[in-house]
Amino acid sequence: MRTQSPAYVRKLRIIGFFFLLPAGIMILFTTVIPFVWNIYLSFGKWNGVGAYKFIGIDNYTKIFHTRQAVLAIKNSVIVAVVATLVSMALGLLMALLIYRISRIESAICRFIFYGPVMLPMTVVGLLFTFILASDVGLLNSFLRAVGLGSLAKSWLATDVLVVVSIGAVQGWRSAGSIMMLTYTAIIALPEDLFEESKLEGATYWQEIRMIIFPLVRQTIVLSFSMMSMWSFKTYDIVVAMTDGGPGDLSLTAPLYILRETFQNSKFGFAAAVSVVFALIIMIIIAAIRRGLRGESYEF
Amino acid sequence: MNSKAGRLKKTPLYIWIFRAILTVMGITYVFPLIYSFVTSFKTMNEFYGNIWGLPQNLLFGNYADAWVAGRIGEYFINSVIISVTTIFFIELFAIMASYALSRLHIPFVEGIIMFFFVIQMLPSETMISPVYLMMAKLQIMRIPYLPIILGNLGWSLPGTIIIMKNYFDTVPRDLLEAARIDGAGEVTSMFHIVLPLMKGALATCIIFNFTAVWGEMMWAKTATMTVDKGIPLTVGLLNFKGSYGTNWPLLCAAIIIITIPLYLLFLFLQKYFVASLTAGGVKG
Repeated sequence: MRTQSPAYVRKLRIIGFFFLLPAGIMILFTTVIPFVWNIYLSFGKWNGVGAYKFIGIDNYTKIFHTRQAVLAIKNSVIVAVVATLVSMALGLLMALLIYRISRIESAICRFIFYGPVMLPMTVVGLLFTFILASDVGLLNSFLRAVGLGSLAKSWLATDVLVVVSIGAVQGWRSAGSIMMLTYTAIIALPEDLFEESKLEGATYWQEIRMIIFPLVRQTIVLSFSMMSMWSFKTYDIVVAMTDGGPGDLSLTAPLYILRETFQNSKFGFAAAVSVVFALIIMIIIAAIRRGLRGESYEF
Repeated sequence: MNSKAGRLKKTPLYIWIFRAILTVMGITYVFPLIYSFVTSFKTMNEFYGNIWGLPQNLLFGNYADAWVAGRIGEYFINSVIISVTTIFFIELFAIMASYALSRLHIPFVEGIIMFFFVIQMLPSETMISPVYLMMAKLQIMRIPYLPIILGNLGWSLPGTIIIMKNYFDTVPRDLLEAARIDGAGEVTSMFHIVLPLMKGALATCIIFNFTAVWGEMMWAKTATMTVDKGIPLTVGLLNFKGSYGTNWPLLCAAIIIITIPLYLLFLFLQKYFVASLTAGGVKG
């Protein structure tokens, strides 16, 4: 066939190169060069205007002696873990439940549960500062109204609880994505897989265990690692809800890095914190992908 | 559910339990929005008098205040300009790049995709300050919209290209071969033959990208630190909160203004979205 001749392939390759060019330039300009530059910054001392001074790994060793830096990274990890667990649990539950109700009901449920995923984190954050406020907050008012006033707490002003609350809000918001990915994977399973279990009178729980989970495993693993990745993006929601406060109880890594960079002009130190933070994220995600990898079934 | 064989006429009990659980969960998802919708019509006095009460009369005063005095209208238009421009270029560049990676015999395709996969995992905190410095040097920082558009464009491309390349891979090669034999150029075959088959993929990417760009705040806030023009909604909403503090009814009006276009977009694209996710575009 003439379309496979070397000259033709070469011609296509040249066209392909030009097709790749715009995206390539943009990625180079916004990701690759800045990332390399950031690593360079992390080995030096620089206030943004004066001369750059190379100081080796001093910034990195300093991180471990800086209380706020350690706290910020720790808080980020707590938020991410809580958000991931909440969204995975809620999202899987939603997917399994809406699979068994009528088509129209499931469409409505999908719309409702996916809605908040599209909302900007800022909006979700503001909505929940309102819900979780200790005085006029909806949650506390509700608890008092039903006689559970003793459970009312200052959700956003207590140590640790504040980061857990933020994580839970983020998980609530993102559950819809997990639901969508899992649900669409389940409905893509061929119908006849369920035939035999129907004949043998298997319960839905048995079907879930024996058929659905093994077959959509890959999708679940993928959404789990995607979710953990997203959960580390805590800047928007924290700024909207507490701005790192009260004090620095809810300070997270992105917030700390941007503050050190643009308010305190410690470009080098902030860069080092961001590199360490990125490494932690990469390690956690790699561990998840490795840990959950198992045999996968084709159908 | 679709044609489940041997389905009983009577709905089994567990379905009713599922419905009950879903209803309770649904309430936690809808209630905050309905509540802010109701609150957005209240006056401050009504709100602090009884936070559960209904508004006395349907006044749009909060909306007018938020839109004009609170500058939400201005921020809204900025966000629309930024999102629409960014989305257009993301989809255009991503389609071109993923078509090339899938069909135009580019060497090391696996490596390139792997590279994209890794860089889209990097948190933006590791790039923001150099990007800021670069754009400041190149004098882009003073131009309204442009810094935000460029940043979002570059950061969204790797993920979008990965999704789209998976779709291009599923388009039968014969279809393209036929077009080539008919003498169609690469650009023609891309836009006229492959693209119509990709409506679903495109809808999915548009929803993902639009959500990300419309909601992005970290870079937008950094990029508009020193200017007063071209501020998008997310950043504007915080300024708004800063100047109106605990005026919750007004804040709720602003929240509703931001929420509605997103729900409409999703309502409009949901059909394509579910269909294309089902087609398996977003598999690892």
